[in-house]
Amino acid sequence: MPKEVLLPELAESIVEGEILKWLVEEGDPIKKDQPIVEVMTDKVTVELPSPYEGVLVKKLVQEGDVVPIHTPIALIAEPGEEGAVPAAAVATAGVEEAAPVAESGEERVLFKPDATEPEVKSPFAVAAEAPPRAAVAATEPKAGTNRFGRVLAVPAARKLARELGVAIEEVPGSGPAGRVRVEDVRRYAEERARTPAALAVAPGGFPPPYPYRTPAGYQGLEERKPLRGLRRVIAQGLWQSHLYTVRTLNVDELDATELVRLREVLKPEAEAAGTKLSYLPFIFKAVVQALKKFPQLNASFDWEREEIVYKKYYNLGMAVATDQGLVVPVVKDVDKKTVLELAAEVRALAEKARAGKLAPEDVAGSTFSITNIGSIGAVFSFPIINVPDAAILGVHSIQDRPVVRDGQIAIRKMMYLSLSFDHRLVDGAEAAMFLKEVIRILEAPGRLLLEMR
Amino acid sequence: MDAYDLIVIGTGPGGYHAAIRAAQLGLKVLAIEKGEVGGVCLNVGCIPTKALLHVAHVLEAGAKAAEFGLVLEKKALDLEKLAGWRDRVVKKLTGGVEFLFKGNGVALKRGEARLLSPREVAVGDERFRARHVVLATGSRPVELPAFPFDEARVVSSTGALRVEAGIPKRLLVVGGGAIGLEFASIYRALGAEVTVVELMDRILPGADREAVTQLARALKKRGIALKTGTQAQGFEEKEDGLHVTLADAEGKETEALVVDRILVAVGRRPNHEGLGLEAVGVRTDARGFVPVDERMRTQVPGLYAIGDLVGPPLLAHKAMKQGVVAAEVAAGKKSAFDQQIPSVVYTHPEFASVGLSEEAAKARGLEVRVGRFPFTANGRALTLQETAGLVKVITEAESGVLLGVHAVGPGASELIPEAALALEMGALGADLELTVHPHPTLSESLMEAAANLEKAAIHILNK
Ligand SMILES: Cc1cc2nc3c(=O)[nH]c(=O)nc-3n(C[C@H](O)[C@H](O)[C@H](O)COP(=O)(O)OP(=O)(O)OC[C@H]3O[C@@H](n4cnc5c(N)ncnc54)[C@H](O)[C@@H]3O)c2cc1C
Repeated sequence: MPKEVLLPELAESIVEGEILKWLVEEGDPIKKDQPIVEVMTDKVTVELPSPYEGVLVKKLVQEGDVVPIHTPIALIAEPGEEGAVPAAAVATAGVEEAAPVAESGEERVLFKPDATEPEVKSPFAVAAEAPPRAAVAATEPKAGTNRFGRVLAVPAARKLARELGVAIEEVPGSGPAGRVRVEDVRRYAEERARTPAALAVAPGGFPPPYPYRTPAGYQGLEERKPLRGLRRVIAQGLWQSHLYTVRTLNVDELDATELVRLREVLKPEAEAAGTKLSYLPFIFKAVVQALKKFPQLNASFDWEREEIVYKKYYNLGMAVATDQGLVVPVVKDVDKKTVLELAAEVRALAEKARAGKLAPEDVAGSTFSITNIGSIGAVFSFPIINVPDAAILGVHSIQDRPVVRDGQIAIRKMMYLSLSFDHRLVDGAEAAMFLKEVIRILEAPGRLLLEMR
Repeated sequence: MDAYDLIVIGTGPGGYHAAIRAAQLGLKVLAIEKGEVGGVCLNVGCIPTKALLHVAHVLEAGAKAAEFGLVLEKKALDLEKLAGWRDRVVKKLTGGVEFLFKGNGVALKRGEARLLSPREVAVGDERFRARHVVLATGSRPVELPAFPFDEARVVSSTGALRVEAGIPKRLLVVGGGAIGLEFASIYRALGAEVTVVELMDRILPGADREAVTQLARALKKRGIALKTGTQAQGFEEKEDGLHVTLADAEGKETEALVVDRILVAVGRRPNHEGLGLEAVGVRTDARGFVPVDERMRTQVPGLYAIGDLVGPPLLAHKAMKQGVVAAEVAAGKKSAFDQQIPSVVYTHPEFASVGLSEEAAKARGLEVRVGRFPFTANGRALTLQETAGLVKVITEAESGVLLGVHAVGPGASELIPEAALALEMGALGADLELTVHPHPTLSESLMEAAANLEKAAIHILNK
């Protein structure tokens, strides 16, 4: 029998992936470890190697499908058995198959003559006017989605599932051959009840997305592209962020004159060490110092357990624009790295991002994020939080601006900072003090030396 | 006009279960019956046939007693007394149902019910209202144009129960399904020469082929002639009996058979003439059955249907379960009918099964393994002088998950519920094998058949 290829766990905490592109066709011979499909998760594209050698007899998912991990995505027949795909094997793929209904009729026709079976030929007049077999009475139990035509579950588990409104097909079974037990149903129902959707959404839920209609007279003047790949992941992520954070803005300005001077001094040294020095590593360091003082901004909600998670590590996401769209690679353990090391890592990650070569672990695990809007040049912007972070800092361009110093107008190198924070986790005053702390450090960057561990 | 929470039309196994369960759940219930309380099953089905089968067993056991030196002489079988005993068994059970109705506060109305609207039922001039109505009107035998029932020469299953009419010397049974075969067993034991004709290529079409072959062999050994791929085309009454024309499946005449009585058991059709289904908007499927979902709801809100009326399998225990489900759903519980339904044919030896036949499993694309154990190797079967048949256990090769169990032999009907439980529990073949069965019992055969999957049955050479 052909073997199933399941969508593997591509990285920790990843629960689904989007099938981007099939690299092989049905009927193609396949070597073990040959890439067969491109899958995107969390903005990262991965090529899946085939776990088996053989022939791809069937793709069970289509390009553009978003499938949970452990879902069968393809059937591979062993070399030499590339014959027809047994119907049951296809049914295993979680595709609702109509067939089991007719077949479960099969095991029930013991009392066939009583059932006025249609294929009974003459001389039975009644039988003659009877219909084809398709008219299986609706009493046939609903077929399950596995190869047995029915989910393996103990009767008490079925009953409990019905009472709790849980589809037994969805419950992962812990028994032999995946048999669903009472405990499995209970656990599943509890987990489901704790999902953010159940907690955060008002009764009735969100209204459905608005429809799009081409305005009259403009037909043919539009181009349509399927919402696929990175753009879809971005849309999903941002929508989540928009719906599930109470986003609040705090804007301040930084006198970066000293920072500019310091960077000018250090730049040649960094270059000698093989690295180009931007402002970002300094900002990273200042942010970590401030996060240590205001741990609310380095926290997350865990809605499943209804807890706030305070993180004792400092992983900073940095938004990078690429041809495909925005990605947020993560610089890990910023508190433990030197400015020079950070400079090198920031550059390396940005390059990887632009080349579309980020690995799943590169984009996972941020605790706070920074977005550099400066290079393009808006006065300031209102960034959207990279959930599950509590906040994101928008960094803008440094410009010479007139400011008042000691009663005099002076020209200083000024920069706007905009902090978006989730007001449920962070109070307004806290956010303001956090930003002031970042500014305090960066206005006299020597303080980093005094305070940095 | 009287108002109820729930009205049940028909008090067969489906209807009386629905009525009692609904009353247990606190609903005010009215049951309406135009015939006898207990329906087909208690009055002219399961129960009287089993009473007669018991007599058949006693007769056959008596005949075999000579083997151990007990020579019983069959003086006479008083058919009037036999009929009286049959009726007493039936009365006891139907009286029991009426007692349970009273005890649970179920009101009983005698008469033919007609739906006026989904919530309104008429019996004669009287009208009753209810929030829920359960249709449990059952089924009746199909009549063949060439063999109209006169219940003397050509009988239905109901006529065949009337042993007091005398045991025919030669009986033709048209239809090799459960009912036909049960009567064949009964009449054979009572002394008739029995021929069964079945149009399909085997008796019990749809059942596990290997098990059916075993049953057919055992029945033939008892002297029952089985003609498969054969149809009865018509008959003519002559001096020496009823001359029946037999033909092959294509309709080509093959032979003429002379018999004294003909039992036609070729199927059953649902009862809903005059019930008013059209009036309330319930449409039946092409075979006349009422479509329902797994909660036993028809397309019309508040209207449920159960039992033979909703289609195969036409079995009492299926009707019972559906009755319970309908009552619970009406009472607001989240019940569903989604169980495996075991089947038993009460021939001698019995045939019983649950789950997939080997052919059905393979047709589904499953790779199967089969374990077998013959009753010849079972100690208890030997002591009972009943060694025909086998137990067959089918599992899925890869996972070991139990797919079906089929048994032919002594006590098969009491052996299969254990297999049904195992199937409901999603058990593996190993679970049956690893469960200790008392010795000596017939049930050991189930354990040993499961052990045979692993070539570990002790009392046979596992091949
Ligand atoms: C000879 C024989 C042997 C059988 N042996 C077995 C067996 O061993 N095991 C097994 O599982 N099954 C057996 N069956 C099948 C079993 O009898 C039926 O499956 C079962 O009776 C169906 O139950 P029910 O409640 O659906 O309907 P029924 O038992 O048919 O009851 C329907 C009732 O509704 C009443 N009714 C109909 N219309 C109206 C109306 N308009 N108003 C009022 N009342 C109405 C009828 O009078 C009847 O009492 C046997 C059947 C036969 C014929």
